[in-house]
Order: sequence, then structure tokens, then C-alpha cells
Amino acid sequence: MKPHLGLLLLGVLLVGMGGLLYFREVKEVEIPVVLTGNQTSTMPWSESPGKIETYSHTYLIKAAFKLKNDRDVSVSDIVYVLVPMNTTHQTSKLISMEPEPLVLELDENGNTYAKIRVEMGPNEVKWINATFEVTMESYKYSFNTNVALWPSLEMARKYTTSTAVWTTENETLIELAESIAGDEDNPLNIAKKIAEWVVNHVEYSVNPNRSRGASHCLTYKDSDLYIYGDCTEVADTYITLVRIMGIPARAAFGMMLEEPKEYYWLNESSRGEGEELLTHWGGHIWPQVYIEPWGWIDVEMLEGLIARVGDYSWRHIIFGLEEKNFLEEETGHFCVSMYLEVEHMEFRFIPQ
Amino acid sequence: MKKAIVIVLVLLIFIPLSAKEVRAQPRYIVAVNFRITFKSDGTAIVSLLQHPFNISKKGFEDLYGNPSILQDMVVQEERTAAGLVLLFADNPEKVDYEIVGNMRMKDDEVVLCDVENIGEMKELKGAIVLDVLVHLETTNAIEQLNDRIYRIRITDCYTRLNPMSWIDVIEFRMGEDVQLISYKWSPKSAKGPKIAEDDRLLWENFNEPEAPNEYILELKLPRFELKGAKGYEVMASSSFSNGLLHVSLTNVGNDGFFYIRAVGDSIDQVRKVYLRKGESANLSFPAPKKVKVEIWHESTMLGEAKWVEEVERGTHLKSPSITVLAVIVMGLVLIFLSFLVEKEPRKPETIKDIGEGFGLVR
Repeated sequence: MKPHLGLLLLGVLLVGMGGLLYFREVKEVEIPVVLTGNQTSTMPWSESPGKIETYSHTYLIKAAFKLKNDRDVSVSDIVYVLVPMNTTHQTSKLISMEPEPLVLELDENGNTYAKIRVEMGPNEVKWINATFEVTMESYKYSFNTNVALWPSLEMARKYTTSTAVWTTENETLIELAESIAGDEDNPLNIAKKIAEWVVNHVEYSVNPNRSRGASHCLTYKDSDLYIYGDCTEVADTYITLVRIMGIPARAAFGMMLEEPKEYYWLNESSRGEGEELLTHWGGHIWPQVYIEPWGWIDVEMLEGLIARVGDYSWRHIIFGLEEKNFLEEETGHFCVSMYLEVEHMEFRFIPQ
Repeated sequence: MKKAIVIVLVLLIFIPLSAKEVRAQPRYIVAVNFRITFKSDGTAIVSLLQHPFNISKKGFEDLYGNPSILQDMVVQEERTAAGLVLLFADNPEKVDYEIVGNMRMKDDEVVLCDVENIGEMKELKGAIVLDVLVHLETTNAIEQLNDRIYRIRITDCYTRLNPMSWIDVIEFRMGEDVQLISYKWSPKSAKGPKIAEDDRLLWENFNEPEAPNEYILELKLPRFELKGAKGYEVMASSSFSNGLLHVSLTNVGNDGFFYIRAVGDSIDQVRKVYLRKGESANLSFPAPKKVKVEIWHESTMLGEAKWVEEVERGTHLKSPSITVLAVIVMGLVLIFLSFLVEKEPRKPETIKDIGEGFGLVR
């Protein structure tokens, strides 16, 4: 069939004219815009940051520390007992302490210690008993990821630098962090991606003989890196990776309860117990990341092996923070003495 | 699911007070004093003076000169040296330091220690000494105030490891040509130096609250020039579109971390990025408007990103107007019709009758 030449030419002419008219319209809106300082556009911070669900839980905590002077001479010493801390999501009260503390003091990380003068004769044993009331708030964010902002220079300098434990200068860890984050530009999404990576690369084992430091936590298995250790290694690795990506991070430590009513204890016989330790002890350390506009957000990766960023359960009691100072063993967090042995410590958690 | 391991025994790192207790045989405590000598070329010699002893049934027992203890301490030399660097830096790995005097006995030295924890310093004669040379430029403790005048922050390295611990005796000495301009300490509630002379400061601390966490000295170091971020250079340009500030970076200097800071009215955001030499990166920030972009390496600002005006273009094609659409549709309809409307067939030039039964079909 042969087309009607006249109609065909007219049709082609009209289509061409339409195209030219469209091009002219598009050109009219492509006038260059010289950006001025007053120009505004839709801002992430004009949006809602999302929602948070919170639930309050109150615990009475009865702590006891058994001290022994295993010297042949009398000793007068100052013993430091850590008091659960006050945070946005936790309020803590010291109900009683026996012997009575000389003073409550804050350390460089903002942790509260009760200083107690203890006088003990040769080979004498004494107990320090303390009762705290702690109300913690479990919370779960429904984040509007769009509103996440990067930190200020001050926060970045303070909380993303290399430390003796969080070795951000380690090339292997830098490459790992970059590969996990990929092209992601949003700090909250990066924090979540790294948490998911950690959850999928944990070979969990109780690690009592650790030498702390993210550089020691990772080992190759089938050409992929895995974290070997417990909550300390998980927290140190996570904090280092997010710090490399420029997200402020620190460690929170305290207890993770198995049940609301718990009795945890630790003593000399606990040394070398391995997994058995978990049946009577709930000491825990976990990371926090700082992302505006929400502030400090708890990150839990070992509760059900799910990456929980901003999903903080009733099981956490925070005792303190690590920002600048680090301890090889958690005992140093809870009760410290120079000349006396801390032979036994126990915590009873009673829900109110 | 996990919880953490904890051991009841408090090991070496937790020992909080003025001396270190070491769990070896025989059991002993080490009194520790620090002496820091600043040199005009921007280095410092950190001397660690140690004196082992024990308190037993017999009372004070001096263990200076005990060969097995000396051996025990010498084995720890490298680790001890790294610990000393914590006076000037968070991470010893980043600091250029070297042992310039191996651990040795010096009988003419004196170590001070509150041996019985009663608030009195006892003089212990003889010290096991270790000397470490630290290049202050490679630490994060030094800051230039003026021409050749520097502020140096010395942090209690015991407090760094354990908030409840402290240095009991620390002495600062000014080397040749070094001038002490001023000094202070933090927290302010802590006590000042016991001895304060033009070329020497000495602190004796009996407990943690009285011991400064930080000693801040302002010194004139006439033969030292702080090079800061020398060797670090990044080419950067920035642009703004669609509510995002875009920054393009190329590292033409040393490998390292860089802070990319978007700063202006109501905005101060920092992206931290590690760039190897020759590596490029593109970053973006949510931003309300065009703002200044600064490039930093540690505490030195390397410069500002060059601003590139960017044309704000729609990323999607604009829908045509109704008129344009009508013209195009009409054109398409005509093209379609041109294929349906046939021309009149051409008439044959000749028609012949070719017989009955046949006729021309019209």
C-alpha cells in the first residue's frame, strides 16, 4: 500500500513543528539560575525526624562487693564503686551504700563513682553493699532517614578519631568500612549498614583473655573478615568502622538482663569458665552513635543477632560510658581497689 | 545472644593509685615518677624512674637491685615505652618516638612514693630508668600560639587508662634555650605544683582529686617550627543543587583522613574521608543553601573548596503544552491517514476487447 504523499508530508511537518515548539518550551525553563545566599529549597530539617515509642521500666538493684586484704599488714584504701548513670533514657538514684561513701565523683567520661574509705586488718574480709533504683526507658525509633545530618567539626574531632582501642588508621579496617558503606551518603543508613554487616560476620565466643583493640578482633575466614569474640570485640569493631566513616561513636557498658528479675555474680572461680560464665553474669558493652537530629542512639547487635539501631530494649542497664579511657576487663568498671582484692561481686535486679 | 566476660581479679591495668602492683614472684609494687625534659628543637625526653618494693609482715621491703625483678621490668620495656607516649597522644602508633636510654639501674636517682598511702612521700634511693625521645610534632599535644611559642598539653597517662588512677610525681624541666612562658592545669580543683621555678615544675600528687588530669605549658622553642599538615594537599570544588551541597575532592598529597566541613549560617556539618594519594571522591551534604566548604587535616585547615556555579536543571523531561501536543497528534494522525487513503488508480492507456466471457472490471 502506498501512502498518500501529501498527507504524509503534512503529518511529518506537523510532528516536526510540535517537536520544535516543545524544544522552545524546554529552553525557556532552562535559563541558568545564579544561586544566591538566600536561595532555599526543601530542607531535610523542615521534615519530622520520625517517631519514638518509649516504655518505662524500674529496677531496684542490690549490689554487693566482697573485699579481702590478703596482706599481712593492715590497709587503709579508697575503693571506687560505679553508680549506674543518668542519661536521656535512664534515671538512677543511690538509695543506700554501706560503708557510706566519702563522695560521689565524675570521671573524665562522665561516669559516677562512689569513693569509699575502707580500713582492713591483715587477711580481713569486708563487704560493700549498695542499693540503686534505676528507671530506664526502652525505646524504638521509626526514623525519617531523610533528616539525618552529619556531625559538627567539634563532634567529629572528639568522637571519630583514632584511639588505642578504636584504631581508625588501620588500612584493613578503612577498606572494610568503605566497602560496607559503598556510595551511601546518609549517616544513619551507613550506621545501619555497618551494624548489619557486623551481625552477619560475628563468630561469637566468650573471650576472657583479650587484648582490646579493633585491630585484633577480625580474622579472615574463606576470604571474608569475621569478628571473633564477644560483646567487647563486636562493640570495638563497630565503633571503629563507623568512626572511620565519620560518624561519632562511643561505648556504653553495664548489664544486659536475661529476665527482668535477675541475680548475677562473679568471683575468682569465674576465671576461665568460658560460655558457662553466661549462666550467671550479664555484663555487657554496646556502641552508641551520634546522629543529628536524634543525638546519641544505642546500637545493639547481639540481642537475637539482629542489627538494632535505635531499638533499645528493657534488658539494658547502663552503668557508664567509654569515650577516652578503656579497660581491658569489665571488673575495673564496677569496683576498683588498689590494695584490696575484689573477691566477689553480685547484682540483684528486682523489677518494681 | 551475648553477654560479656568479666574477671574478678583486678589485673595490672586496673591498679589505680600511685604505684603499680605486679603479680609475679616475688610479689612487688613499683613506685613510678616521670621527668619530662623539653628541648628547643621540639622534642621531649620522657624519663621514667621506677623503684620496686613490697610491704609485707616485715613492713617495707626495698626490692631495688633484685635481678629477677629487673629482668621482669626489662622484658616489658617496649610496652612501657608505648605507655609513656600516652602522655602526649591518644594513640602511640601515630607518634614518632624512640627509646634513647634502655631500662637500667641508676643509683644516684631518687624516686618519691607515698609508700604506705598515708599522705607522705618517702624518698627511695636508686631508680630503674627508661628514656624515650618523643617528637612532639607527631603528637596531638602541641599547638602553635605565636612565633615559636607553643602550647603543650600533657595528659595523665594513668588517668587515660583508668579514670581512678593518677601520676603521683611528675617533673617538667626546660632544656637549653627553652623558655617557660606560663603553665596551668585542669581541672582547676586539682593542686598546683609543689615546686615552680623558671626552668622546672614539680607536682606531687597524693590522690586522684588533687592530681591534675592535664598539665598545660606554654613554651618558647626557638629552634622548632611546627610544620602542621605539611605534605597534605587536596584539590576540592563544591557546587549546590537540589538541596545538596556536592564536593569533589582529589588528594594530591599524603594519604590520610580529611574533614570536609560545610559551614555557614545555621549549618556546621563534617564528612570525614580517607583519601590515598591520587584518589578522588565525591561527597554530598544536605544543605539549605550555598555555604563555604573547608578542607581540614587534623587541626589544620588546608583551604576552602573552589565554588562552581551550577545550573539548576530539572532532572525529568517537562511535559509538552496542550498546543504542542495537539500539533504533534495532528501530525501523527495525518501520517496514519496517509497510509489509509489511496490515490485513484492510473487509467490504462489502451483497452482491448479480448473476447466474450471477459469484460473489464471497473
